Amino acid sequence: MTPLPDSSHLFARSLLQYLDALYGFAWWLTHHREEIEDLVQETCLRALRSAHQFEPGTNLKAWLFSILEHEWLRRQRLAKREVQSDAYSADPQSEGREWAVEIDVIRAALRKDLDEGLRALSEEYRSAVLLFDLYGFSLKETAEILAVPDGTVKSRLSRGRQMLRDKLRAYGSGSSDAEM
Amino acid sequence: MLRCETVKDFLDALRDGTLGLSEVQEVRSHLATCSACGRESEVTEALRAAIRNRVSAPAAPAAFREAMAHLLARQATPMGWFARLQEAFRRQPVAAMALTAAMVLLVLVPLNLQMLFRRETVLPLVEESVNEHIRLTLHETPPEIPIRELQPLPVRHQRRLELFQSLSFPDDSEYHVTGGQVSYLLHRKVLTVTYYHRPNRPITLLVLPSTGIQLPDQPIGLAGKVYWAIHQGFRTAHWQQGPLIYSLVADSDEADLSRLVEKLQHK
Ligand SMILES: [Zn+2]
Repeated sequence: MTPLPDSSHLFARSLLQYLDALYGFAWWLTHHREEIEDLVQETCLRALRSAHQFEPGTNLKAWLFSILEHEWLRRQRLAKREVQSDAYSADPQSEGREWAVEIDVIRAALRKDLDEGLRALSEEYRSAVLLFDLYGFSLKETAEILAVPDGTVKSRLSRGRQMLRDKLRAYGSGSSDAEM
Repeated sequence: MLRCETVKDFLDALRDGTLGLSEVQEVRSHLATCSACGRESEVTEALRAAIRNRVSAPAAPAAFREAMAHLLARQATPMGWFARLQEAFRRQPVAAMALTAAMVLLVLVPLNLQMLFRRETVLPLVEESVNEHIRLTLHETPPEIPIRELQPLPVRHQRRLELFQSLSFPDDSEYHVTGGQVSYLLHRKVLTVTYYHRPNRPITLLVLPSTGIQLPDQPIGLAGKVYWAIHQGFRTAHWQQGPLIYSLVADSDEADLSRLVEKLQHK
């Protein structure tokens, strides 16, 4: 009698290869280590339980991210934490800015500035920017992970990036003032 | 000729590779002739490059990775029947209750056999308590008897509620009962109560008749004779009180669980 290849064990092993990515994304959602580990664990267990719903050939990483995002939102609702979106208003300075200077500011931005800038964004903008620009998901995958229409992802991306640019420019001018 | 607003919209689709060939050509020729859009696109590219090259989040710590590998390896096997049971509970709770009793019989026999071949033996009580905890905390639907909204409860729940109340600590915000239910575990009726210790740190208490359950002998600690175990990454505590066995399951640390053990023993 030959035992059948154990597909659930294989699936469990393939989940582990995305552990760092899931952990990293959870880290952007919450800085509490316990909560990060909780979220990632829950995501993997859920994925394992609904493995039969996963369509082979589609993006497993995107599917796992969408489970994590869903679980995170569920917990936010449970804890009655409001996900607040701060009203966006364009920086008045940004209209007349020097384009070449801005490129330089972005190229010179330190990791710390980028981290701070991203963290200062409200979650909906930050997640869109991270998923598309950092994790390299497509617009469609990003929309599926965040469970919003494609158009919403596009507008969150453009607003999120604009806010990040404003922050970086503020950090850039702040540090050069301090040096003078 | 494309409008600048449209081009802005198309830029991410262009990066995505989801634009049609003619659209790609139109966007390219617009970027070549419109300096505003060209610059905008360049700034966005610089920003994307900065994010990709300089932004990073921590990787999973080694201990956590190891724990997850262990947990997933353990979870991978029993999921077939487990998932099906969970589904059944969602659809038809009453029928599923009867089914559980039958399945517990069917499942426990192979589990016991399987345990003979494991290096460390896991008490069925520990294993089933952890499974119950996972099942309840993963449940999307609220517990059968939500304690927080207990006013308009059907009469059949009234007696169960008295039981729950004897296990709750209304003055203690650290361990507040959120709900519970009666189901079956190890061929026995079991009363399950969920405490929300800290946000997203539920603790499950299971109370079941002790007849036929032998806890391993334990040294008497601060909280009396309590058997502690760790299974699938969850911490469990078990003790006997009169004719009943109490089991607690959580992923809290031992101190947090000890306090609840003491509170329950002195209730
Ligand atoms: Zn233009």
